[in-house]
Amino acid sequence: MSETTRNRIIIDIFLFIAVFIVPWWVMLLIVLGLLFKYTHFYEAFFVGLIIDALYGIPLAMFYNFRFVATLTALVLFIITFYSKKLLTFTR
Amino acid sequence: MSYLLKSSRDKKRSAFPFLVLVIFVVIVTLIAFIFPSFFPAVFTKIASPFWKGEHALTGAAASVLVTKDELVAENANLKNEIETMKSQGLDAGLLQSENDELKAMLGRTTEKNLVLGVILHKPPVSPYDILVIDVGQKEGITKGDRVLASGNIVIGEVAEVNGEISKVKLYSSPGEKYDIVIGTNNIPATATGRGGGNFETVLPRELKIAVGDTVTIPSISPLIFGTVGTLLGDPARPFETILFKNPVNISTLKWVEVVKK
Repeated sequence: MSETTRNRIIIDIFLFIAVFIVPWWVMLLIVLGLLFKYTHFYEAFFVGLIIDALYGIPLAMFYNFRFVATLTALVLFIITFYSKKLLTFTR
Repeated sequence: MSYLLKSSRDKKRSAFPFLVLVIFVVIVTLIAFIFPSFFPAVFTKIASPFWKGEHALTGAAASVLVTKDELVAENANLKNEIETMKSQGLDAGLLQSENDELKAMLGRTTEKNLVLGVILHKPPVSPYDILVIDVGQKEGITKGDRVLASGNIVIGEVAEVNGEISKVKLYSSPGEKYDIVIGTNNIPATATGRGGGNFETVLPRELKIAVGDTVTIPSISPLIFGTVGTLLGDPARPFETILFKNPVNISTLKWVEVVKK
């Protein structure tokens, strides 16, 4: 197992535990950082899905749509995917 | 010429993440559509030991980190407060029992079937202005049960029950609308949540709403919704915006009472 894979597994385990106890906005910052660090950080979808499963309820603010965090993760994934091509520090 | 080949390979490579994304969205949508409670049930079951452990740990840490002198001083203060409140509560207690007796004589009962719930998560840890409490199906909690704080202050209602855990939607969730009654003249209005225990409503200026007026929910035993805090409006206009908030601070609450139907 390469060091990169091992690091990624450790990060995934940390994320899986953190999502239950860490405030949602801290998770958002962590996931955003990891989206920039890794080429395809698919785990972001699962973090969004877990947040929605734990805390999501239909709210008028979001037109009763309950997968707001998952949708946010998808949007962030797409934004970071394209912005990484334009930014020099991620190359 | 290998440019075309390279370009086509690059396109395929850049399309792969989006293929994964589409597959993910399709799978999640299908599961959520066919089994709506699948994800909440599974992840709540996994999260439950983490939340309970975290709650026990923070409680233990808080009790260890307080010095003896601080506890003695706090104890003395609390005793004084209890004495003051006891004397103030005598009249209220008499009036309440008289009120209950009169309602009972007229065939209306005001007794509530309450269940105490410990708050496991609250804003800002939880998003969307919701509380997670440690009571659920086993205690007979159902969707729509009202949630009270400090006895008769209504703060929200149960939005979802997952085994031993329930999600409480705070009435102050942004955009949520509820029927309320303001002041001693029982002026009906619709409150709109603004988040963090704050609400707003718009009423004609001539109704003379004042700061400090009590806001209640229409019911046989009135439940306190909030107190009017600020009145905003231009004297030239006929309407004013009334801002009010829950009398309890949600971020310092430790437990709530759920009124079973």
